[in-house]
Amino acid sequence: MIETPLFEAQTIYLSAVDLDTDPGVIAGWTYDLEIARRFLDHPAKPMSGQEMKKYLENRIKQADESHKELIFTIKLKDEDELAGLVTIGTEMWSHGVAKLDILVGPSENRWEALREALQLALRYIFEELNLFRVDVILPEYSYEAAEVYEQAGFNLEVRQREAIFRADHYWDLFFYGLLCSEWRPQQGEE
Amino acid sequence: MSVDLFRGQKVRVTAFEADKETEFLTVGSRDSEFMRLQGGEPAAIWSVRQQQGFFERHQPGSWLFLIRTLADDRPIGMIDLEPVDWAAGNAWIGIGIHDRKDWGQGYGTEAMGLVLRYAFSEMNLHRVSLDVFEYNPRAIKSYQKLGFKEEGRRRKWLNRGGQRWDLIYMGILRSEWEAYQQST
Repeated sequence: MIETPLFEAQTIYLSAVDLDTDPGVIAGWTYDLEIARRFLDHPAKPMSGQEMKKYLENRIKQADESHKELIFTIKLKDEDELAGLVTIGTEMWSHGVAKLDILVGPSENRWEALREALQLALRYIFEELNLFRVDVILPEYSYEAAEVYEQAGFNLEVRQREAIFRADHYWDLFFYGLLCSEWRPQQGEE
Repeated sequence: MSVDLFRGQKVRVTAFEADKETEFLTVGSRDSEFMRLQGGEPAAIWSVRQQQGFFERHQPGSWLFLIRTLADDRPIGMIDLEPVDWAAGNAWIGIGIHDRKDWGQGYGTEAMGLVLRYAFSEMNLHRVSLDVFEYNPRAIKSYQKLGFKEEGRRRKWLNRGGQRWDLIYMGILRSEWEAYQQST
């Protein structure tokens, strides 16, 4: 049981934010407004390394002080390269709910990195934090990410109609949810 | 253009003067049923001073209103609008009537209507969102009356009283608000 690795998968591993090197890399991804959107209120904009460093510093400080958020980086084992960011919010602890957000940067195997990071995050949330359910929010146009979450068993529970504006168009915001009781049976199959 | 946007037939909404309304702040802070209808955070007892500190920190930059009865100018509850996305024109709305003797009298529905009118005709929003607990049918009915549509539920999200309850999400688009205005 305790030998099951929590922070290591096939091609990725989870680590802590390195404020010296990571902000520059992540800022570089924010030309993609879908990524920039995770860091800024709308309207999102591309961010500089300095802005990203300040943002991450604040976020880490708040997480440390509140104990209501965990922040991990996703690293590729091969090149030891930064591939993404995982945040797990436990603000609503009295209900046993985690808010999960996984950001994967633009790389060849980004969706494989997402798939593996999701598996690690779910095991951590259900078997280490012992929570009851996980909330994920995706914009309607994130088709590839939605497929990864749906394959992991997430259910589409809420569609907030026309709640997001991108590329000259209103889109829905999709709220996905997964209960521990839905995740657990899947583990037996692996 | 001289319409008083914030005045209805039973209530009006005004700015909230936390330093003046100490009696009002005391009422809501003792009723655990009110607290458990109002929010997902564990019910807690805050002193008037703690509450005033909270408002001092959060009120600037937020759209927070006090609801007062027209008949006797009594403060009975609060309503707040939180824009979360200006590009999409989306804001969250939340309301609470503090004293149970003021529940079920249409005050909340009317106050919501006043703030929705402000949200669409002044803030130029595209939609207003809210969430409501499965065990609060009075609120659900009020929102439906105003034109809100259910957009889904986070299943078994709330853990209260030894039971799990759904968290219901509702939303109203500008076009739906306008249709509602036409029909009333």
